[in-house]
Amino acid sequence: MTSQILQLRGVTRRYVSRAPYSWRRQIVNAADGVDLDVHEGETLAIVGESGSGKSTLAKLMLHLEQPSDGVVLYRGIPLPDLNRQQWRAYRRDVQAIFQDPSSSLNPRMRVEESLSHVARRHELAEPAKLRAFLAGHLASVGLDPPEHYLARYPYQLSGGQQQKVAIARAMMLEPRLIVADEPLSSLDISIQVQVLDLMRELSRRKRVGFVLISHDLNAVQSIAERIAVMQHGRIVEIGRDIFDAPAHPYTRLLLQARLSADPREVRARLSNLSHARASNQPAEPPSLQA
Amino acid sequence: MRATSVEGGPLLSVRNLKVHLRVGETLVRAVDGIDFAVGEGESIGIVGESGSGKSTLARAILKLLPNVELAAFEGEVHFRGIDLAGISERALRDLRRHRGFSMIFQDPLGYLNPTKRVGAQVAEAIGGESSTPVGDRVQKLLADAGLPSPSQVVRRFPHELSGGMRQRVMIAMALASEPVLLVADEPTTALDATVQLQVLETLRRLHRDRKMAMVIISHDLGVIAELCDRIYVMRAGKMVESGDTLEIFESPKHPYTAQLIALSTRRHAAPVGANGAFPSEASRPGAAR
Amino acid sequence: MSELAAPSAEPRPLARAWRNLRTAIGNIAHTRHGGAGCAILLLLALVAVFAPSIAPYDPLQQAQASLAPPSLENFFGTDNIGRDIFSLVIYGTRTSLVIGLGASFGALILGGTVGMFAGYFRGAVEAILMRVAELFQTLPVIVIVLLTVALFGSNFWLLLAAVILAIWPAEARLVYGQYIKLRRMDFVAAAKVADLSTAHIMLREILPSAIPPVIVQAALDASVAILIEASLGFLGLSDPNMVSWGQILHVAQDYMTVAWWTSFFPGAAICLAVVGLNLFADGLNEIVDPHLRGRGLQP
Repeated sequence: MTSQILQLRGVTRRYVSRAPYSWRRQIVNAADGVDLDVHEGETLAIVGESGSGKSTLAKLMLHLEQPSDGVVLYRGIPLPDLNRQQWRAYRRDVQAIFQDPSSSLNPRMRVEESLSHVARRHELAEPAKLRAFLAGHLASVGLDPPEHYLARYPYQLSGGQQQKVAIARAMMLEPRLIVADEPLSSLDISIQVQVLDLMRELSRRKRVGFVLISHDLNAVQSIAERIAVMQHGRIVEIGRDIFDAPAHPYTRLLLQARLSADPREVRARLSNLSHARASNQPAEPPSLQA
Repeated sequence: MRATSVEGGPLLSVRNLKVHLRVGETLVRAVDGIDFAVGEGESIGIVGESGSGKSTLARAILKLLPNVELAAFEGEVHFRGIDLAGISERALRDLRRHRGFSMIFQDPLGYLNPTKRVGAQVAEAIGGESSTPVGDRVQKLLADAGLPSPSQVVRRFPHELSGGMRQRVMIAMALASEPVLLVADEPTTALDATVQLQVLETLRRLHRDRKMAMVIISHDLGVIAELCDRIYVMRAGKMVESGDTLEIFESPKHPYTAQLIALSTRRHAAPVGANGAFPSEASRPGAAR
Repeated sequence: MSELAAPSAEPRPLARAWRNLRTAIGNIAHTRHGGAGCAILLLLALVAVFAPSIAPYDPLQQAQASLAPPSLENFFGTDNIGRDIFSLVIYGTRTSLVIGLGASFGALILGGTVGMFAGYFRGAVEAILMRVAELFQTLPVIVIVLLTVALFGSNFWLLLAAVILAIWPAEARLVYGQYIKLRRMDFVAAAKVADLSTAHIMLREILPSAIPPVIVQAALDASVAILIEASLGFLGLSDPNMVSWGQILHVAQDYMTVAWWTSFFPGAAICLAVVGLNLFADGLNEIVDPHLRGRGLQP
């Protein structure tokens, strides 16, 4: 029997907003009747374009927002029904990293202070050993020497370093699942690779699962075991091999829209283009014409 | 359009450009001795990561840097043979106004006036004679920039438009002066993949139909590969490599270039690899749901 | 850089706060207006503290000739019952500074708390609290103080309370706006996910980032408080046992044409205090703003 750490059943999140220049109120379903299981230890990716509802799903999983309809379950228990002990377990088991690393760390606290608050709250180490504990976790995400980073304010760190601190903060609690909401999009490509590698290694070594939310299919392809495609608040496709055998037309559209830096594909594209120029025709696949 | 040689002198030529900025108390050598050239109707790309100086370079050659931060500005920048370093403010404005150069930026929302309708802003870019011909020109520009139903877009405010549409409005405004050179700084970075493709197609069409030279600045090699005939690779204020797009992609000479290309393509690596990064399928609990 | 040997590289919070304060004041003093503001406030503070030593006479003593113009015995002249105006103004500094700082502090506490709760919790809490703040903002303070004094007589604490009630809504609105903006930031979400308590999030996470514009407002509030107190004194509503600048003006209004010094010097003192506080607030604003704009939020 598989173990699901999180489940979403019929989850809907409605926003009521007014369209400009109109009295009519618009109801937007950021999430629309979503059913999803997150298995223990798996790396699940949720992809989609902006406005697809994937960030909303992350917030719902983290109980940062409540569903208008439907229910989010932690180990089979609806989140609103968790008792005190279960709630603490949920908050330890399910952690998060966010998109903009510079705003996910408190700008007015040094790294050590930020991390200490969390560590003390969950009693992760005795006060005398706290500093060494934090240093150990910073080192484990590749921030070496850790003391250097403990003393820094977030603005003194690069985006990649900030994101690694955020990962360390999440990993300190030894979670079973990390919900990562667009953790790569603010980072340079070389740093993205580092962070992806880090996530992959943590997944393997510590058996922690990831829900990786991203609009970047390329990044996701190298790490995800299952991929869910979202559009307009709904999951339109979910599976293991959507890259090779996409079933839904929207998935196909997303896959086609990827740009490649692979030399072979570049060569093919460029020769396609130069042939097109020679015969004076546009070369783009007709399905993507505006 | 592939210009294998630059005939009759390049449209834009930059020689030994140095731009040093004062940030707080530190001196930042943002651009540290750069040479490059853009021929008529050519499309070149400048690729580099954040901090490489590529954005500073773009702003420097178009003289868009705020004076406050400038610690040093050396070197030569020639546009159509005119030395940009020495010309007056008015001459520079004239250059920008007609058949000169234009620039579009990464974050259109930050560059559009949130309190003015789109049509009014494009009209301002054209030059502000208030008569009907302007209205027609505005709609034509918006259509050229690839916006469907320009007559409706004209009445909208920037925040009512999607990211891709805002970017096209910026393109329309940039086209108002009928530039012979368009500089685009990370034109598609904030956009979704499908929208990005459309905007790139628009830029490619404009490049082809108007014979407009382009300088595309991006950290995304895919974008550069789509649009550019020649590439310059920047790192820490210096050019480390330059050359024909295809040649660079197939056989990069500088290790940094090779690393950039490798990193971009490595992300396509299949999840289950020979290095055993993932446990085997058999031990993974759960069937696909 | 090996800091592992040191038990803690972090000085204790209080020591750190004191060092930050000294740096901040140094920074303020270096801005264009802040330096002047600091100088004026320092002067006023010294005058207030050393009043007994500076004032040549007991301010309430009616020993001199009445309505005497400024002279060597009475630098600022005397009022209609023979009190030395110079001494009155000196002692009046105490009252004004206490009211100014006290009311500003009180408004900060009251308005800050209301704004904090309204901005963080939103919903019904926000609606109720901000309506209350608006209510107080529309109340005519002077009328209310008039009523209260008529009913209960005037005393210092009543006046202080009145001024606080007049200025707290502006502070509340400011803090409210800050909290609405800051509660959406990712580090607050991260704190929630880490199960940190609501009190911790409101006070330790958000508050330090919310403070910079708030202290600028507090400095301005102090100048407003001084003006309000002067108005109330001018109308005769202030505590008769305390010397205040407004009170001197209240007495002086009948003699403005014959004895200009009775209204000029207290008026000048009020002016000086208000200008000093505004310049200080300008300086505060300058050191607070460029930080926020330049490199993202940073201390």
